[in-house]
Amino acid sequence: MRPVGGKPVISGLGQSRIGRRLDRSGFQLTVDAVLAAIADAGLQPSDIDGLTTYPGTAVELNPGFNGPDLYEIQDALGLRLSWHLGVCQGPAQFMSLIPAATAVAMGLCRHAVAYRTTTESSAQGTGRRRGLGETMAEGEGVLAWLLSTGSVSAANWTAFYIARHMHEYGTTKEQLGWIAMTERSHAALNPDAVFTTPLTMDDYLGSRLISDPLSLYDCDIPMDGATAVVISAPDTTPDLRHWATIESVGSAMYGRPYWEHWPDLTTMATHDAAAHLWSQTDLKPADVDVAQIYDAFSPFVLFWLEALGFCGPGESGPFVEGGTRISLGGELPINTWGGQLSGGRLHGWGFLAESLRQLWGTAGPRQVDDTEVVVVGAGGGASASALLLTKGDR
Amino acid sequence: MTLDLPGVPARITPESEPFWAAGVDGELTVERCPDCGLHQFPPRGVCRACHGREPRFVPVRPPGVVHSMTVNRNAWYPDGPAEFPLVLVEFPAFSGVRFVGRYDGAEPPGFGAEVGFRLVPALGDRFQVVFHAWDGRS
Repeated sequence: MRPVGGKPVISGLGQSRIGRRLDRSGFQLTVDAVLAAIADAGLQPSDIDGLTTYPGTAVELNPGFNGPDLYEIQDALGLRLSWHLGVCQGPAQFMSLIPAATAVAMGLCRHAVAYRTTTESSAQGTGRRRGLGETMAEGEGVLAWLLSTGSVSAANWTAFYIARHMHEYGTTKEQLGWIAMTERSHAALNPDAVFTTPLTMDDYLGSRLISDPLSLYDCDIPMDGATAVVISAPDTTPDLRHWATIESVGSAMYGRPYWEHWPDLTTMATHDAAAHLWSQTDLKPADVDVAQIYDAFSPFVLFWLEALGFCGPGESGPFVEGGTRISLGGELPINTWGGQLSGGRLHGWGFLAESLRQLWGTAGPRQVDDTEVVVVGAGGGASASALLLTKGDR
Repeated sequence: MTLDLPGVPARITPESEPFWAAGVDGELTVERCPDCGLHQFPPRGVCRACHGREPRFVPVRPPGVVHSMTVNRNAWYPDGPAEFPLVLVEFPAFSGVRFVGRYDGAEPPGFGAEVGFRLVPALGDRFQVVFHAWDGRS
């Protein structure tokens, strides 16, 4: 073990085709993304000595959720790995990426690939959205208790939280609508997004209820797609085409890891991850140029905005109202690729991909000028993780 | 009307077995630590506050207080019901332990409303908690 000085960097990004019911296996989508990420970093597959994914082979909560097995990807690409990890318990969707950063900092590997693949669209077909655990004989762990009650969708659980936020702070359904509409307007500039036609408040308010007060456009949309990034040791930057520095990580779990037992339902695990993130850096919320924050359901955006300190407790509804502040051209553009509500559910990694594009100036018509600091938040409910990424200097 | 909902039976563990067994007998139980008095759920066999190792199962008594609510309107499982109210209920006299369950009524009650409950057979040999308007007795 030879720890290297400085903060790890992300040096490459690759994404497969992204879409609904793609005629391509999750395995091939993953290979597409991994090879693209390595090339994007200016590296060769032979340079890769670390590999990680979340979750890989594990109990599958939902058909198409897990993505391919870590060992099989290693074998398929003939990688020689000095570090590898498939992981299913940790700080939300970046639970694989964070240890990869640790591994390169500790000198266990130089260039680690992290991938996340979902084929929930193909696996769940054209019918209704599936309940969690439908294919499980028994539940175990922290979700088992909720699933045994017959409340089998995070839509129900998120509804408990946002209903409480509305009750305590006067947050409105229309304010949630501004999140959905703003993200849709951003998706119109993203050729990979699933929903691109403009969404009006009438469309939003007229859509069918899923779990009061959440309706259809408050919920993300299952997708097929793979995202891969390369995490590199900081002393490798002379060899890289570009990079973003992992300035800070939020991986904390201070509260209880249960949706139903979280003490204050006007906050989420987002608050632990965000507090930890800011405790690791001298940067402040005011330094952030773009926020890419998880939106499995629209209320998550409110919880992330408050958790990250962009507004005070209970102020996120007015913060997003009208959409101006959070749109491209606004003071804090969020989810510039359309988020999971309109861009599609890549389970957190769509936010990471867009963050890198914004830092590298490759976001096309969605580019926010002079982006130097991006915050990424993944997860919500009882598990969350956050990254603060800064533009690499050449 | 049957009140149980399709779901996933929780695996019964050495720690949770007394909870499930008591429920079949009609008692909703949580652990109480005799050392510090904390009530807790799920059962752990260790107090999460003082780490006392002898928590005892005690029955939870109504009323509970509605902390939040929703009306589910989507059938998540094949042949499952699409529309039913769900409530998240706190029991202030029991260290604020919480349970989630169906509400037996067309609309859920408001925040802070007092509710009673009963246990209904569900998911094979398990049970679910079903809440109803507090009538002063159950």
